[in-house]
Amino acid sequence: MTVTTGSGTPWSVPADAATAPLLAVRELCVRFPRRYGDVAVLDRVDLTIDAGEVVAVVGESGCGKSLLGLAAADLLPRSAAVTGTVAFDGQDVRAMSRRERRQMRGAGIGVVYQDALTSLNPGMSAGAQLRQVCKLGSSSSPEELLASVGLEDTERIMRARPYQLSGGQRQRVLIAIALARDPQLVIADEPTTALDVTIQKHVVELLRSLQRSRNFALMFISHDLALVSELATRTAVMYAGQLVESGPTRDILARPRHPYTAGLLESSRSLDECWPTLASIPGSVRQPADFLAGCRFRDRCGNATERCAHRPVLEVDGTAGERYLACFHPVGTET
Amino acid sequence: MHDASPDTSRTDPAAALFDVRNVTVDYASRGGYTRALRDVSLQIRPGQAIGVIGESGSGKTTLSRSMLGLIEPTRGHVLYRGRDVYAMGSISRFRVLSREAAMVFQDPRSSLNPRLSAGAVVRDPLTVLGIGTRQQRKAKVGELLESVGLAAELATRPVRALSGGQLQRLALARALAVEPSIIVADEPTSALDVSVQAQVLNLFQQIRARRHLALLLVSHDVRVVRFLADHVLVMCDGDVVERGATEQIYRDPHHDYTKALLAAAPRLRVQA
Repeated sequence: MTVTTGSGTPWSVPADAATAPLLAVRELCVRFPRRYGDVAVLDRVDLTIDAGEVVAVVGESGCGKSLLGLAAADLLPRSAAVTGTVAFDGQDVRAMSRRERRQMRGAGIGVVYQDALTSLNPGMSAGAQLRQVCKLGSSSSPEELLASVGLEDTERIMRARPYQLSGGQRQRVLIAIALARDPQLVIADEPTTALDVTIQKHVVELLRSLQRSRNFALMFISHDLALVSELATRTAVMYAGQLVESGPTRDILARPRHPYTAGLLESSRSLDECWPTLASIPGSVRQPADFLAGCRFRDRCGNATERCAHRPVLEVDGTAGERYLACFHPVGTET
Repeated sequence: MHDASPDTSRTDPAAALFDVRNVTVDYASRGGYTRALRDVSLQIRPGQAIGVIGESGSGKTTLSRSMLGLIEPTRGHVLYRGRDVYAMGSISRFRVLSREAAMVFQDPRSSLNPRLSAGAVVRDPLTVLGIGTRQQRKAKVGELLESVGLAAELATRPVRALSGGQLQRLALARALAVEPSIIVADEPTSALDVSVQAQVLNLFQQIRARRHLALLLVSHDVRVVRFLADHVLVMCDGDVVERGATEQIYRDPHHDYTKALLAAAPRLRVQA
């Protein structure tokens, strides 16, 4: 299979199966024709995650980051119209047989959602839910898994229904279930948002140490730049269904190039440092039905010109070749 | 003591708006009770901004609701301008508190009626309390919307068509409609996106300064409390474990729990 886009994007080179990333999302567009007509709710998104790598997907509600997570896990609803490709372990997901797809979804990818109370079965004990997954093939027993996510008193937890557990315990059970089949990729969608800050810290530390010891790739979806800066080596920033910037996390935070990323960082910094007036981005995120053509951030952007009515393509930015940017008027460029 | 005339306290600027005295709240639970607040005292003077910080289950929401006449303390008293809130009849309690203390909740999508128009949301408190004539109310709705940075034309739009940031502005306009002396805000920006949160926090700050409003801010976010509140109470398991000037507590926390709370907040790691 060759991918030729002819636009000079990093993906115009045919994928080499030997060095192929674990997850490769290319030119992915997702539409919901019945709800939003021809609007691409995900608009030509490119993202790769290597084996054992921690990549953050950052953005606000409605930016499509959860949808990207679902697309990566091959869990999009049937109503979605999809173009572009998602490849797992070098294989195009849509070229896979049903059996292979099931295998990938079940054993290749583990998913941790935000709200553990609604993603666990309320009528089943935590142990029964864990055993159900382990039965399909796991290198560890349910008890070992619970111990590995830092839950002591495993006997009680195994018997407990989700409502009898605290928020932090439930999130740990969910992580144990996601890891049960030794996945190569774990997708964590805002896994700590519903938790108190002190518990959040523990869960993030747990995810990091599990990632190191089990060496799975982690796609960490979050709206919180500060949290991301503590966890991810690489970060992709999304706005209104478009991927606007990606690169090494440290580099992006120190030298944001897209005006949206710069605005988010400035806002976050002003709150951290308690400025007399906080830095904010004017306006608000549009609903998919009202997405602008071209760059979707342009109505809130101080740098926007008429040129931005055309869609900027995500291209290599700078000389190091690690940064990608979709913007005609980036921050930190003299014009 | 309960009969201290409200008129004298109104004219004395040093007198507390709210005087919470040794309030304890117990909730009945299976075969016993859970103590949600333990012997908490607090005073809020006109124009003062007090933050209450703590995690879920710390009692911060119980404290704010007991002040608003919504949860009767098991022990202790809540005085509003010198009058015991729970010694009043329920009707006079409603009349006094709903004109003087307004509430802004965390999630405007569940606290505002999605079927109403934005204008009706702001007008309703005026109608219910019989403030102004129909014409005056209509004019006031426009003024209020503009004072929170919303176009007056939005008055006819249904609530469900507004964005999260617009809704929280609308909730603030509704709270301001009765010209209260104090706003009680329970996690007012935690449901908002990062880029919109700063706008709404700036707005709270401006309006508070312009109207000399007192504020009781309940939040789990140290940074939000630091931005808006001059004084802070740190709560843990129903106890106030530390209190003082916000900046001082931020820089030099004494209690172990405060230290843990400050240390747990994720921080941007930027190396230039």
